[in-house]
Amino acid sequence: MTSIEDTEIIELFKLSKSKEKAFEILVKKYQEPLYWTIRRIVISHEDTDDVLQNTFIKIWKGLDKFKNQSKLFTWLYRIAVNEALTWINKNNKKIQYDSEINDNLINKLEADVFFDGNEIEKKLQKSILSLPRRQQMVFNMKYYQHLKYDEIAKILDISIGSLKASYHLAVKKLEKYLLSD
Amino acid sequence: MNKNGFKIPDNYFDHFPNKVMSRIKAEKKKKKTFQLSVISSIAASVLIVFLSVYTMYKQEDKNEDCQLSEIEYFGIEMNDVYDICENTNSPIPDLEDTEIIDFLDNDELNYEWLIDE
Repeated sequence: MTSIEDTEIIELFKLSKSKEKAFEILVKKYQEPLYWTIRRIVISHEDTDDVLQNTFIKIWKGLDKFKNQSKLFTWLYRIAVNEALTWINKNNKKIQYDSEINDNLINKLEADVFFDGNEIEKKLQKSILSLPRRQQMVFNMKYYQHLKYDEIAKILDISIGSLKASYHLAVKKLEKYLLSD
Repeated sequence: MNKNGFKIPDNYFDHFPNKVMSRIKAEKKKKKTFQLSVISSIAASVLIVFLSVYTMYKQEDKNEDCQLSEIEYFGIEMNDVYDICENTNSPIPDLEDTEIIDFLDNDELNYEWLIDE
């Protein structure tokens, strides 16, 4: 299940003398993929930086209890996604509808100094942000991060059938948005 | 670095691990301080409970010492006995035999209530 390298990291983490060193290795290994998972959900670099730190703090506190029943990276991704969604909900407390939250994220994209995509990239990102949250996450993980359906299913805890349907719907909607205007 | 329009600051991933490790060290310190304060609170609570129980126990002892039989203190009302207890720090001192005899030899004492008993 868990790759040998991840297994070694976990074993070293359990020993108090090598705990911090093991964790540093873990951070260096997973910081980038987790960063991009989070960034595509919360959009701004500043927010991503905060959420990524919170994610690794949660991992530090919970890694002792990780039971090897799933791959380590699935567990890490799941924490990252949950932290990102918690962040969005916390910063949009008074907002009832997902569509309003999406509008806020689109505004963030426009205002973010760390986004300098061309017009087509901007239009694509705005289109993705117009999708329902689950379809956004499925699309980003499949299209941009090239994760497999079974991996995404474990991260998001939904069936492969639902995933494929979500992805298919997302692609159809994006085609429609991008071809309009 | 740029991914589909999303940029990140230069060398961000070089510095990020240090940022996280500093936060973790700060969290560990916070946890230790919290654990110490919990232990101190528990110890203080135990001490307060112990002192309260000890004080109550001592108070009961004092009252028991004051409950002397009437027959030992002829002519002294029970209220007088409690007054004495209130006003002294120690239980009523033991009387010497000679003192008791001298007291009993006192003609002014009235024994009638004793005979009636």
